[in-house]
Amino acid sequence: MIELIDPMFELAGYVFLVACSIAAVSGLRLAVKGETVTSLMGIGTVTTVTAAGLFLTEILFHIEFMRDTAVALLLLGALATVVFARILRGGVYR
Amino acid sequence: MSLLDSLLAKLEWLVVLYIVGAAAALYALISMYRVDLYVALPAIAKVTAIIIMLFGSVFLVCASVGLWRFGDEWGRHIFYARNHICGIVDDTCALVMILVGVLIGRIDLASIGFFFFAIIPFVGNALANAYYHNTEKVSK
Repeated sequence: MIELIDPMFELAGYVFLVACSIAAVSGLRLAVKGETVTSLMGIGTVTTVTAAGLFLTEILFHIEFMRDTAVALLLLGALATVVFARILRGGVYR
Repeated sequence: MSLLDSLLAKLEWLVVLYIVGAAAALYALISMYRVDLYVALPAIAKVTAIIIMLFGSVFLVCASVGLWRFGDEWGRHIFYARNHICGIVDDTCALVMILVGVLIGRIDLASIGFFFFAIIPFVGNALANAYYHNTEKVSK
């Protein structure tokens, strides 16, 4: 029974990666179709699910550089979304 | 004490009973089958991580279906519903990263998840604020 756990973990990781891909496609559709703020929101979603998928891929396949890419995507993506939203709103001091 | 308070008090006792019962059942299983704890606990943690990832996948797919369904034909204010759905996607990813990272012993994954989980409300608020100032306030 114990030896089934690792393949099951891998299978659950694949299922989560597929779900991340579906969410990324939805976010891309939002980014392509909508107006400016909606596009920003869609790109934020794509960034998040891509980073989560990259982190999971690093756990599953032990590819080191994917972790660094995921960290950069998560931190810079979220912060850049806030910054660009402030710029679109019309300045920092408004 | 109102009826709601008494119900909540009973619910608290139910939670306590559940935790004590689960601990007793685990102890009985371990002592009955002479399971090695150093083997059993990581296996239990990994099974819990599997369950969390599968639940997270269900949430992600449901949120994606919602993003596909709520198109522009629902009016101008559908942006806020989409913002909420994107927040759910972000929250699901962050919680899966935190819980799976803690359960499989990857502290880097959990810490990045915690940091991202703390930023998510600011992202949603900034997006909604930008949309409000761009469309609603201009049209007034």
